Amino acid sequence: MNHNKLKFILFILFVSSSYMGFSQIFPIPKDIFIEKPQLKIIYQYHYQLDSTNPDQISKRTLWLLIGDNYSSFEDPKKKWYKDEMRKINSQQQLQDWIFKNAGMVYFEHFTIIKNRKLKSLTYYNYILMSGHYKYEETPHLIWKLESDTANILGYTVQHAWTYYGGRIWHAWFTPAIPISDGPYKFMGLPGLILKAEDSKHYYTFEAIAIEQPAEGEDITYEENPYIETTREKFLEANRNLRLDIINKAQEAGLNAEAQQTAAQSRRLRNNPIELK
Amino acid sequence: MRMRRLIISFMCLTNILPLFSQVVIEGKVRDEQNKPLSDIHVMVSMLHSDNIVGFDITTNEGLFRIHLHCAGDSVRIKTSSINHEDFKNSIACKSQYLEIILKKSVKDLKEITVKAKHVVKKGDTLSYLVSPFAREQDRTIDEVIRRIPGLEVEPSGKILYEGTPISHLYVEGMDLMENRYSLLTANLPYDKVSTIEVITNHEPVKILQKYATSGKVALNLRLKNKTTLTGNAELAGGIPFFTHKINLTPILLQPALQSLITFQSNNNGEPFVETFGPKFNYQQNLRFDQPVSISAPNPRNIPVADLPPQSYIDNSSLLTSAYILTRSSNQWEWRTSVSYKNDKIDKNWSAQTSYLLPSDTLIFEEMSAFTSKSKIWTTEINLRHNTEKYYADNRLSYSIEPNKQNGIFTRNSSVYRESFEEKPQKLDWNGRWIFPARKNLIELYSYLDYFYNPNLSLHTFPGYILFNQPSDSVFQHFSGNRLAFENYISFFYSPKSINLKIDAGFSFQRLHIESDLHAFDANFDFTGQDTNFLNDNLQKRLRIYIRPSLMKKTSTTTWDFQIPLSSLMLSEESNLHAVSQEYAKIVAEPSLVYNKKIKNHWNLLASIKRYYQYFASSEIFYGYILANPDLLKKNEPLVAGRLYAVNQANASLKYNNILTGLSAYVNAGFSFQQFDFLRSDSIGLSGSHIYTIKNYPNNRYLSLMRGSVSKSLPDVRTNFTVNLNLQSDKGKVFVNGNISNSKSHYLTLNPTIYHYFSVFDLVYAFRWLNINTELGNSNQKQHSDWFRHELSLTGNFTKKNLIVTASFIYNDINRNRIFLTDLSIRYKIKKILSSKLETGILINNLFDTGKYTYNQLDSYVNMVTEFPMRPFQCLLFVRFNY
Repeated sequence: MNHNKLKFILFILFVSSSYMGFSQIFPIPKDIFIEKPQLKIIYQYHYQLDSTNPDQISKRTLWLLIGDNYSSFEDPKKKWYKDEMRKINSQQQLQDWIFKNAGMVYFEHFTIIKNRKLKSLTYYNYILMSGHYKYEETPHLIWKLESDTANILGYTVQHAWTYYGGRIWHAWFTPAIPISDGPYKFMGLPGLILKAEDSKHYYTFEAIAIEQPAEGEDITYEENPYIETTREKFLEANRNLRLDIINKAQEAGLNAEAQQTAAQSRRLRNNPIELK
Repeated sequence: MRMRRLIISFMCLTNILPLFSQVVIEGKVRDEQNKPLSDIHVMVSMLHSDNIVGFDITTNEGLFRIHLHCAGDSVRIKTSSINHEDFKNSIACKSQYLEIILKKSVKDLKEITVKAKHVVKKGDTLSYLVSPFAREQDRTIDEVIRRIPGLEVEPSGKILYEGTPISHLYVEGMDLMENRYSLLTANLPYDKVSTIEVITNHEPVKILQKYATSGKVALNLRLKNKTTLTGNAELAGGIPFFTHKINLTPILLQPALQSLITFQSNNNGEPFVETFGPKFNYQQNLRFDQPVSISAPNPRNIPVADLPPQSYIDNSSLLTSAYILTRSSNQWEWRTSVSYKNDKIDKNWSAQTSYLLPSDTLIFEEMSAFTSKSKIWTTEINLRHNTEKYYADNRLSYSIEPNKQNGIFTRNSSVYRESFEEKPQKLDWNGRWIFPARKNLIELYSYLDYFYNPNLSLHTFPGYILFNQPSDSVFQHFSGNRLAFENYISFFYSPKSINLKIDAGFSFQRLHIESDLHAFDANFDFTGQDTNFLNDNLQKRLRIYIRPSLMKKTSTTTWDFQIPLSSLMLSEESNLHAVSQEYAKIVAEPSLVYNKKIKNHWNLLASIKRYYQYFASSEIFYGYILANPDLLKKNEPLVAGRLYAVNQANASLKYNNILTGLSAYVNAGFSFQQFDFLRSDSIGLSGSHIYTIKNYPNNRYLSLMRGSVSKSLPDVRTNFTVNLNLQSDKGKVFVNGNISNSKSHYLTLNPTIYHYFSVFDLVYAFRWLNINTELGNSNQKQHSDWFRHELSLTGNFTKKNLIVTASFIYNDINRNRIFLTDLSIRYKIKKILSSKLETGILINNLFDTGKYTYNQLDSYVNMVTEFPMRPFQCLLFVRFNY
């Protein structure tokens, strides 16, 4: 691994992961308990951040934990990552961990907590070198039902579609599970959404398992110094980061080559899940 | 922004415009205490469809409001929630206000969920999600099926679940292919399938589901889309000698129409005869008696090696078939299939055949070079209805199957020319109807079969078979026909947990053969006499039976007891010799089956059975007939025994835990057969045989034990399976005038391990077959050990779009060792059609291994066969899955 690459990985780790700064050398943010979930849906999440490169498909596994009043949707790797960071007590341990777990440090930062009674949600996310944000949202999803059906995980699912975030989203829901919830921000259908996909197939959430949650798998959110904002402002802040990455990298003390690498990396993220 | 406005406007319009012709169903949902209920899903669907056409989720005040467009007079309204009972009702499709009262009832989420990733268990159905089992190198669904715990796919495409062949393969509940499902599974791209359902205790007849426990296993493929137009196209060509392979198979799968059309041709060693045999016995388990095969003369048997056919078979083959299945709205299905197959196989082999007789050992050195041409034209139409209310299955099929075989056979330096030709035809009809009669069921079954083989000829030159005397040539002309039918009526009665079924019916078979065996004497001065042996034999079999069966079923246990009573009548006549004999007997054939499910994961099955079988008619009553170029049947006209009794006991214990990925079964069986007669085999110095039947009471004992353990270890990306088979056969043989005891023991051990590295997949299988036979008082003992190591390595170089597979076989039979290597390099052309198109190279027999030795042992025969291998073969291919 050449020096610049190593430096870039360290940079990404330090700046993209807000916890790094809080490792055992620093405090790790606490998880605030909301509710015990009744059901866990595991979704496979495929997405294409660079719309110009159909070969660059990323994959994640995301959990939807559903309780009586709330649900959470997030990457379980985030919790694993925090547990790992809690074990680290020195810079040397940190470096060793990075070398050992190279390629394992990427995960989705967002957490979506839905209030199932109010049909609203709180969105938590972190923007590089900018901080932790949260906003409240009550998505007004107007679903249009279609007659086609399919089968996912042995459940007959019906097709419905809506418009959200600048994209047309196709959802497949099963009335056999009478829970009006689904992956990401989607809800409001008369059954659990087992698959959601945008019309251009850039983003896909597909259920791969339905399980009983294990002990300790609770609906939580992180205690962070959140900047309260609105959805529109958050999208704008995210857009600005893409445009201003070189300045941010410069502020972080990277050399010109590493700045270009960071810029290249951001340029390739030209296809966010919510366009508007 | 403009786009968003446009779409919202469109959605609003599509919602609002129809309001002019829409009705509004609104109302309030409350509980029994009159409190409004929020978050209740209120859904409306049309009367004859489950599709939801309108819905709302109740507000905090329990209110809902649904706009919908009516296509009929009535609609169905349904509510659903976790904490309350579902409400369903049919209502008039007009604007109205409804008050719905729901009772409290908490649904157990555990019932609708699963505890293992990728697997859903609902009752007797296990649903496996396809994508987690698929690997980068996979193209078709059969490649994924073989990775699912408990399922195996044989090289012929036959699918086994826990060692037993599956009974049906459905796609969305429709049986398009019936027994020829391997054509579908080998061509259906796996990414079109969402889940594979393994249905245990599958009863295919829906109206019988509460009356019967079939013990069968079926697979149902659930598709991702309602309409799937897909298929497989492959073109390959290469060296040597314009070797080619073509496969064009479009598939259409829709709720009311499914079809598969295939055109395949190759000369690279993949004859279709192995995967596409004629389907003679539809629903054979229903009939008491199967149609008796007319033991017509056969050509010389072409031995088969236990190797992939492309490594040693020299063929030119063509297959074209069409299968169409349509389903009407009232659930009638019409299925049509038409197929044509043509295989031409050139086969050379050499063998050393040893007969280890009680007092002597005869050894023959043999060489053969034959060309075999077989064709099948077959067509079938089937009209069926399978619902919980009524079952009907009407089927008519017709086939013509001409065969030819010509070649040269050398034994101990004597050279013989042999030729064989036949053109048999078959027509059969099956009808089965089951319908309710008051609270019970009545079944009618009818079967009719006509087989006609009018022009069979077998010719050897020079002849050597008759009495071991040489002759110029032997020519046999043969014609035969068979008429078989069976009819029964069944009555089903099911009080509480007991099911009673009584069948009453009869079966009849008439077999007529005429043969003319003509030997031209070997007197070169033309003074010798020609010899003719004529047969004109008629056999009739009639069975009248009553077959009561009683089944007691609880949630975990099933007892099934049957005791068929039959009156059997057999008559045989020789028109030429003006002799006849008749035979009649009344027999009872009881059977008892016990099945118990133990603690979710265990299943115990035990059975005992006694039944009778006719000894093959051809063994009993023919005067002289040449069964094949090496074998003359010279039978005594009067033999006492017609039937022999078979007593069987079987027990199997199965364990399957989808949470731990551990699956295991052990099966033990014992069979005791009681004969009144014994076949006498006389082996001459020319190597020819003469069979006769002698009256001689004797018993034969067969025992079998099979076991298998398979475990999936996803944490270390490893699956392993160990199979063990033990088989023992003990009885008497009568050879060259001596009666001797014979014993054979077979042992097969077959561990297989699959390991998935991040880049490489490794499959390693080891097989050990050990055979021991013993004749007489330990005078003649034989022993054969066969070891095989098979290693397959597949590298997925995703970034380079390359998949490289190397397969190695190291085979050792009694220290005859060969090493075979095949190589395949596949390149996915991702820029075009996103990886549905691929090209590459297939190399078979990379190191040009010359020959393969195979050893078959019988009680007193040891045949060591050497097959010349196909030379190094290299094919360039293009494949397209769409």
